[in-house]
Formats: sequence, C-alpha cells, structure tokens
Amino acid sequence: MDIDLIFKIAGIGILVSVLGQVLKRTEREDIAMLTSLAGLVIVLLMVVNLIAQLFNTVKSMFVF
Amino acid sequence: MDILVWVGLALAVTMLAVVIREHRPEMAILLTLAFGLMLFAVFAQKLSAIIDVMTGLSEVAALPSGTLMLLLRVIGIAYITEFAAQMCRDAGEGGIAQKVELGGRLLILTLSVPVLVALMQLMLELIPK
Repeated sequence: MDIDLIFKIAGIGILVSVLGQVLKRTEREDIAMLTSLAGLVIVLLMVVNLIAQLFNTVKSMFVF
Repeated sequence: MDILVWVGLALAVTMLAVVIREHRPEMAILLTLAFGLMLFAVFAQKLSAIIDVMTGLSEVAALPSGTLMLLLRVIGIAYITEFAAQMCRDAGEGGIAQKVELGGRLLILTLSVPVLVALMQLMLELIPK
C-alpha cells in the first residue's frame, strides 16, 4: 500500500501549478512551460512503474 | 474494516484530483491512474486467493482444465479493457475508449470460438438423424 506515492504525485501537481502561476505573473511564460513539463515527466516516471506492476500481476494471476 | 480505508482514500484522492484538475488536467489524470493502479494492487492479493479456490473447485468437479484457464483469461482481458477504457473516458477521450472496448470484445470472442464450436457439435449429435 504505497499510499505516499499518491500524495507525492498530488504534491508535485500542486507545486507545479503554483510555480506556473508565479512564473506567469513575472512574465516568464517559457520557464513556466518547462516546469510544468518537468513535473509531468517526473509523475509519468512514477506511474510507469505502477503500470508495469499492474501488468505483471494481471499476467501472473489471469494466466495470460 | 478494509473498505473504510479504501473509501476514505478514494474520497481524499478525488478531492485532490478536483483541486489539481483546475490548473493541471494532465496531472489529475495521472493521479487518478496511479490511485487506480495502487488500489488494484491491493485487491490483487484477495483476488488471487479467490482464484485459487476456483481452481481447487474445478479440479474437484473434474472440469477439463482448459475451460477454467479460458475463463480466467477472459476475465483478465475484460478487466484490463474496462480499466483502460474508463481511464480514457475520464481523460475525455471517448473515441479511444470505444476502440479499446472493441478490441477487448474481439479478443474475448476469438478466445471463446472453440468452446462455441464444441457446443454446436454436441448439439448436432443430440439431434436424432
């Protein structure tokens, strides 16, 4: 039950949106874009591991 | 008792997703996806216990082993297809969800065709010439 992973993802999401707003206010649109991309990539890496785990459990359990 | 934990978590994650969806919709989708996967990991242990009971019963009932394998495979395909289709629908991609479901149905159909043929042959034998 790695519940902290979920809250880590939520934390990154909120952090990135706040950063994006701040950067937008100081007219740095490009950096805001980059930070949101960076956040997205980090979260994607986390989720990819979970997806791989799901596929393995399903494969082993449902005798694929 | 477990159900309270899961329901509480589900509500908490839903709230988080709503908060994040306003600014970062893609993060919200990833959050719900991660929670869905994590919840399935929890259910997997309980499900595998049930599957063991089913295999035990099928041996007692002397079912041909192929049928239970086929049934498990069909259940697996159905579950994964439904999981992916719902994720796509949450993200607003109804079209992709439809295609995934179509693929799932086709796979299940191709798996169950042999059983259908066997049934038909059995029926034909029963009919007196």
